[in-house]
Amino acid sequence: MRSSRLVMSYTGPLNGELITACLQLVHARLELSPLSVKRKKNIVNILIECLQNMQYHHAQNLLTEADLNECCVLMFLNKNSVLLECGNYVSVNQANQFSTRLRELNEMPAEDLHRRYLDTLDSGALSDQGGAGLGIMRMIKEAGHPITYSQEPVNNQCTFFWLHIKVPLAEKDYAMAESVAS
Amino acid sequence: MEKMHIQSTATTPRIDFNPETGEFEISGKSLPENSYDFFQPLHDFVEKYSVQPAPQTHLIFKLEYFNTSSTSHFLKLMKRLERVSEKGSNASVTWYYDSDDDDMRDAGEDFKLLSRLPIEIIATSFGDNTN
Repeated sequence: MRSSRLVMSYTGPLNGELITACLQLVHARLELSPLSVKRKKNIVNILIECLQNMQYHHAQNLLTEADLNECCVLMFLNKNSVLLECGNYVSVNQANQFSTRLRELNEMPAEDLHRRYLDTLDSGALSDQGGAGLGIMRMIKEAGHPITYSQEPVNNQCTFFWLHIKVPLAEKDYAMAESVAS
Repeated sequence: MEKMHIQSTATTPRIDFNPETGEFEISGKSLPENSYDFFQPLHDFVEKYSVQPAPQTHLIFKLEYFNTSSTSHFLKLMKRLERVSEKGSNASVTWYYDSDDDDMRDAGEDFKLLSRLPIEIIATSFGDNTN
């Protein structure tokens, strides 16, 4: 148990107010820790993109159950990292598109990823949700580590899509970060 | 032309746009639920301002957090002000960042690469004054 501590968890729908509440909770927990400001900012920046990504991309109108808009967010403190697990229901098409993009971006060297980010930003292209895929690039950059994913199929149209995001902690950060989960 | 003032919220920044002085400030947290709905009035304002801009136009950012959809709109504002420059107004940008926030500094550097406006990047200490 000591090797992995749950710092924050949320299950439910997402809207602006609930995202704000999640961010405030994480911010407050992190403020209690002597993690570096840079690491705290990294974590919050990643969480912002994760939560808003889930808010915009979910399996609307595919099934009738009320919990289709539900998402799950978990933050763990492990020995050398913070782990952020974010999942929600998406369509199979959304999952395929997202996983294809993730695989491509994960394989890019940092410089190429940065160039792609700048080119996308400069192009002025925006998705319906206003992001143009910049959020994924930012998450990978902020994490400094490839983002993995997994899926739990629900039916032919819908799947529960998980992002597994690891933010490495330096040894100095870890020694101080123990206090976050205590 | 009237000034534009929008009070900050938990997810949207404070907006203070003064067409007489040409000082346009965006501060706080920029995490709007719908970035188009929030920023379009700002784009419309700058578009109207650009018809008869002040001699100096200064776009100031003092942000604690922002999401990537806000980034697109920040750049769009800068590009609109590039056109203001072409009409004779001396336009520039100041990007403030908390001295401990390398990512915010890097974001300013990104804008320097993408905009023709002179952009000054200044480290500061925000404290509790960003909202």
